[in-house]
Amino acid sequence: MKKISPSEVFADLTPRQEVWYKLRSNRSAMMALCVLLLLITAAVLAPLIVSHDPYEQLTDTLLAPPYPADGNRPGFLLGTDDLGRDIFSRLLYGARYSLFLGFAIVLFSLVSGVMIGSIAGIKRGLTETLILRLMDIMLAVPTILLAIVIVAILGASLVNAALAVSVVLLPHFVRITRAAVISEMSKEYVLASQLDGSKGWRLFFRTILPNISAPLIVQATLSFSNAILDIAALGFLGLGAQPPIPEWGSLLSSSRELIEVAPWTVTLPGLAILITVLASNLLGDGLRDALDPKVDA
Amino acid sequence: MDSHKPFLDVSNNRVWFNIPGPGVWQRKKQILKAVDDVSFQLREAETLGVVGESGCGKSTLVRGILGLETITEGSVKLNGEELTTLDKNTLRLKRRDMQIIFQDPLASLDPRMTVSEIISEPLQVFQPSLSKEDRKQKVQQIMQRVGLLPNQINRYPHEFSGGQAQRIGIARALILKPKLLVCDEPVSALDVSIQAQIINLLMDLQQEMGLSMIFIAHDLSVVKHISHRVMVMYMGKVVEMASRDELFRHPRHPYTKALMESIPIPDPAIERAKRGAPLTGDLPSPMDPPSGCNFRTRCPKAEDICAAETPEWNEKNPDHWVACHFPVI
Repeated sequence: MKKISPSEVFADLTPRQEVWYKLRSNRSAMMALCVLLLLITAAVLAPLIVSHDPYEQLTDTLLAPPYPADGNRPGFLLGTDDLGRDIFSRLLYGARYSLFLGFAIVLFSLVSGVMIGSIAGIKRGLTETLILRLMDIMLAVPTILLAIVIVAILGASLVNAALAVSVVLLPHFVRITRAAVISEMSKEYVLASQLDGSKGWRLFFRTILPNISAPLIVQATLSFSNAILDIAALGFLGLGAQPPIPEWGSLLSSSRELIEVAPWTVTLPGLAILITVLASNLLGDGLRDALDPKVDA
Repeated sequence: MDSHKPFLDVSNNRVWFNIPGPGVWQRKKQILKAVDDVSFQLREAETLGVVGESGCGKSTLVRGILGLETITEGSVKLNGEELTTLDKNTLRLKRRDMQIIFQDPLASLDPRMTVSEIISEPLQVFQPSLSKEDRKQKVQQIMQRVGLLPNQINRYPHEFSGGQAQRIGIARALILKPKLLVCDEPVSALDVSIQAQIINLLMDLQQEMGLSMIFIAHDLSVVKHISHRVMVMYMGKVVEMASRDELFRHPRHPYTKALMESIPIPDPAIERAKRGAPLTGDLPSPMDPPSGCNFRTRCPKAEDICAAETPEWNEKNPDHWVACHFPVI
């Protein structure tokens, strides 16, 4: 009996279709993708979805519990906090901050990390040593401490916190890019491409970058969840989003003392963070497998 | 053949590398003479076979010619034009006339590019004005010519066997219709049955396109099949060069002779009765080559003069050059 090899299945597919095919067959990645898409849609459409203004304080509905529990007030699906604000609205508006900041931070770290890392990998010599030692110093300081230092210098605000987190995440991208660039540059196909006349940017973007994208994509998704976590941590410490901004981390910290009275006020933002982080990690894993041409579905 | 003008003229080519010596504080620079004083001429539509042990400088020589290694001294002329003095960018453009096929077919293909992207890359760089359809048509033509199927156009290199991958490498090298093709051990990573297919393909293509080829191999039977002339290298130097038939029938240099005798014959009776002793000893360290003739430490005919004087590069018979004090008659 003839066994059909995966490459025969893929024979008539374009490369992009093939990646999609492989990703689709990965159940956890697909679920993660759905969750993330749902989150993003909900965050974008938040004003249309919520029934209450996230900043509106309704003094007659203080600490209402979420839906199935006794004492739930109609219209407040996830209950209210100690100032009578609708938690569902606040979480959805918080998703806007967390997701957008996550993307922005990762994009900033990724682009600057790839640039610095490839300069180190291509130039070598003294430039490389200086860049790497600087990154080593940054890595030697605990990330949240370094972020706190940067925020302390720049002043506590959401933008400064985002900047601090992207600087903290930078060394990983630099090191990964540098190592990958060096190992790819020594390979014969890069030489072949140079012989075919490629040089400079074309060589870098067409030949080298696609081949180092796999570890970068994985790192980017890990960093996305790290960024959300770090921003939340800074918010929790009062160094990021300032009240009354409904950022998830500051939601956690402002309701911290209510954990015994109204556990949902703490649990729900925590769950939101957990779900987002888990989904982005699972999607990252799935993407890594799908993008690797050597892994057959 | 003799009526052809030299197409590629390499003279007194030297590629030396500075090697940092051992020790951290007092690094004494040592010199590795990977290619030392090599001269040869390649005629149009001719195949020059280059043979020699691993590490004898075959690859370094052709890399120097293509401008991939810096040539310490000497000149390389392609169609009368000096290449060693060209600046980087001009040399880059010149490379459309000089292409190379690598030893490891898979490693030389970008794993993230499809076959059509790999083969069309030279076109995109050198003929950017070409329309998408024309480019695709050219890719399909050359794919068909080298024996690849049209439906393989969107596949990735790892889906191919070594022989098929080498066909992709050949297609990429030939799509710009170069004049010089350097084959750096193109078949040594392949199965014997596939080797024959690839070699026959290369020979056909050479005739069709009038290619000049430099064919590096350590397998003498392969070289014998494909070459018009053969050059034997030992420790960075050319020891003998002659037409294929002349060299295989009358090897003059003891090293060439030893190489010829090392070809296994698939008949135990003949194999056992082989005259001449096999080579003994190892390749001397290239960092510290023997005085005089490089080969004297392993040569059965070595005498005092071999240690004292470097043998001259002489034309012993018409078009048969050899560097030895005591060439075999």
